[in-house]
Amino acid sequence: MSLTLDNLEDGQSGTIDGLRLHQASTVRLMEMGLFEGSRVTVLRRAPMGDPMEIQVGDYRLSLRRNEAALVDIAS
Amino acid sequence: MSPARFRVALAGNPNVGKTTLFNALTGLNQRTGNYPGVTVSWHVGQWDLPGGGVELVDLPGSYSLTALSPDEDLVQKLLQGLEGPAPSALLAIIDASNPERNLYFLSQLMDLGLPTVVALNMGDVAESKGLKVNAQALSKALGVPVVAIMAHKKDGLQALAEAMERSVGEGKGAKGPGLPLNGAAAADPAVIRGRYEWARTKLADVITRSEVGVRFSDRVDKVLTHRVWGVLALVLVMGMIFQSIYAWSQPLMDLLEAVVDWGGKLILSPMPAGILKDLLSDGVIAGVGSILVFVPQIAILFFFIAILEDCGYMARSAFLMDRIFAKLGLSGRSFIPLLSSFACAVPGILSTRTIADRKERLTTMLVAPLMSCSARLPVYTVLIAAFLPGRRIFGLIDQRALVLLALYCLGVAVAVPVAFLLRKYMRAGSAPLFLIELPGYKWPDAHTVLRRVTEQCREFVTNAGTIILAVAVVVWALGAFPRPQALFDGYQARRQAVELQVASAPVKAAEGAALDRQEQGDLMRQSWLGRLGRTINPLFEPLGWDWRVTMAALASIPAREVVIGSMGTIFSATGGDGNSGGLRQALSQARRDDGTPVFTIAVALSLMVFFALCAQCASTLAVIRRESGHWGWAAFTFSYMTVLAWGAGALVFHAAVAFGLG
Repeated sequence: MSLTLDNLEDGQSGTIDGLRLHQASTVRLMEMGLFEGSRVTVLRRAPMGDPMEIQVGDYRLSLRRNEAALVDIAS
Repeated sequence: MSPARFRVALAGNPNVGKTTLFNALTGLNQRTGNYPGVTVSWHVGQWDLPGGGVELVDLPGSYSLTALSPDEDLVQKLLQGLEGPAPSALLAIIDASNPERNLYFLSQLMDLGLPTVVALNMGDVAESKGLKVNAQALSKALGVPVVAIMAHKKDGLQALAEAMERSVGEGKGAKGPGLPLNGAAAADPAVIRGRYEWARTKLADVITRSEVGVRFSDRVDKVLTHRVWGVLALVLVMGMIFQSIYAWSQPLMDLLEAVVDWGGKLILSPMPAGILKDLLSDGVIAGVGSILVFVPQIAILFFFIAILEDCGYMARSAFLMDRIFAKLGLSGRSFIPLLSSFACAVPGILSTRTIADRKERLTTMLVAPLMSCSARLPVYTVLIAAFLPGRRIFGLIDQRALVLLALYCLGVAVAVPVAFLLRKYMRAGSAPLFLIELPGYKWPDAHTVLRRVTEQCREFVTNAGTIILAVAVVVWALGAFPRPQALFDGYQARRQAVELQVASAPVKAAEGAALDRQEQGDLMRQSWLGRLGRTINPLFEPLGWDWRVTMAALASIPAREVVIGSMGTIFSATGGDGNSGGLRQALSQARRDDGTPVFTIAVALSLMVFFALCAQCASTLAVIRRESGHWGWAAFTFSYMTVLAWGAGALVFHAAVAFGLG
C-alpha cells in the first residue's frame, strides 16, 4: 500500500507523488500549490482528528483526512 | 467625489491585507457596490493619484481567475467590465511572506495585459519567517513596478500612487507567462504547473531565506488549534462575546432610551393632546426608540466578528469546528456564515457565497435564520429583564444570562436535525473540498474593524430601521382606527358622572385614570388590529398568548424586531398611566380582560421560544429568494420555521405551567 498524506504523523514531511481527487478539487489543490513534487508537512490535526493542518510552501492550510487520503506521498 | 479619470482594480489573494490597503488608499471616500460583508461585496472608492482622482475597485480576495466560487465569478465580472466600467489598470497586492502562491495569481492577472502595479505587502511578516523579498529585483524580473508597502502603517502609499500614475501614463500592458486564462485550458495541470514554474523562475534571484526560530504566530497557533486548549479558547471567546453583549450593551441601551425619552418630551410637551400627538409619541418616537436601542448590540457583536476575521482566528474556528459540520454534510466554512447569522441572517446568508458547493451553500442558507440574530436580542432582553428574577447561580452567573444563552443554543440545536435532513433529502452532490487557508495571526487593524462596525450599524438603521419605523406607524394606525365618536362620548359622560358624584379628590383621580385605561382598552379592542388579533388568537392559545401578544406577533411578520415596537405601542396604549416609563414596565403592568397578568414567566418563555425559531423577517426571506434563485426556498423557510416555532412555543408554555411558572 502506498503512502498517502493522511498517513503522515504530526510533524512529518513528504513529497507529493500524485493527486487522485476529482477534477475540480485537483485543480484547486494544484492552484494552492499542491502538486507532484511539492513538499508538504503535517503540522497537527483538529480536536476530533479531522481536518489536518498542513504546511505547503510558505503557508498553512486545512485539509480533510478523506481528501488527504487521495494525495499520494512519494515513499 | 470628482469624476474619476479611469478605474483601477485592486486584486489579490485573501488574507494579504487587501481591505486594509483599500481603506488606506481611499479613506472615507468610498461606497459599497453590493451588500456589505467582507467576502461578498465589492467596494468602490476614490484613490488620489498625482494626476487626479481615479476609481479604485476592491475585488473580493481570490486565489485564481478560474471561477470556482461565486466570489471568484464576481472577480471575473468586475475585470471584464460586466459590473461597471472595465478597469484600465490593475493594482495587485501580494504577500511577501508567501510569495510563490501569490505570484501564481499574479501570473494570471498579468496575463490580462493591463498596466499593472504590484504592492508588496507584509514584508515585516516575511522577515519574521526569515524571508526577504527584494522589491527592485522583483520589479526587474516581472517587468512591472513593484512597490514595498506596509498597508497597516500606511507606508509606501505615495510611491504606490506615483507608480500607478506613471504606469497608466505609459500605457504599457503587463506581460505574464502567456498561458491560457479561460475555460478548461486554464485548469489544465500543465498550465497550473507552468504558472508555478514561472513564479519560481521570477523569484529565483529575488528572495533570500534564512533560518529563524519558532515564530510567535506559530506558537499561538499551536495553542489555539490544540485539541484541548484550542476548544477551550473557542468556547471562551464565544462566551465572552455573549457576556459582553449582555453586560456592555445594557448601560448604552439605557442611555439611548433616556435620550429618546428626553427628546420625546421636548417635542411633545408643547403640543396639544390629540391624534397627532398620539401618532408622534406612540408611533414615531416609540419606533425610533426601538431602533436605536438596538444599535449597541449590533456594534458590539460586529466589533468582535471584525476582530476575529482580521486577526486570523475565524479560519481557526472553521478548522476546529469542521468535524462537527462535516457530520451534517456541511463544512467548517459554514461556521462563518452561521456565526454571522447570530448578528443578522441577511449578511450571513450573503456570505454563503464563499461556499463553492451549491447544496452545502443552500443548506447553510436555509438554516441560517435559525441562528438567533440580533433582531431577536431585544425581544429576549426586554422579556428577560421584565419577567425573570436576576438570581445568580453559584454567586457567579446571572440566571438571566443563562436563559439568554439557552435561547441562542435552541436555534443551533434545531438547526442540527434540519441541516441533516436537508442534506439527506437534497439530491446528493459531490462532497465539497474543504480547503481553508490558515493565515498567520496579526493584530487586527483598527480602521478595518471600526469600518465594519459603523457600516453594519448604518446598514441596520437605514434598512431595517426604516422598516421598523414604517411598521411602528402602521401598527399604531391599525390600532388607533377606527375611532368611533360614540365610544368617546360614552366615556365623556361617565367622566362627568364621576366628577359630580365623587367627593374625595384621590378617589376621583383614581377613577378618572381607570376610565382612561378602559377607554383606551375599548379603543384598542375594536381597532382593526385588535379585530385581526382576536380573530386568529385561538391559533395561539396553546402558546398561552393573549390576543394582544398575537397582534404584536402578526405585526412583526415584516421584521421580527418590530414586535418590540408593536408591543410598545399596544401595551403603552392599554396599560399607560400617563408616564412612558419604558416598555418593560408597560409589559409587566399589562392585564388580561379578567385582570390576570398578560405576561407570566410561562408566556414570556413561549414568546421568546417562538421568536427564537420563527421566520418573521421579510429581508431574510427576500435574500434567500435571491441567493437560491427561487421563491420556493423562501416559502419553504417561512413554513418550516413557523411550524417549528409554534410547536416549540406550545411545548415550552405547557412545560413551564407544569413547573408552576404560569
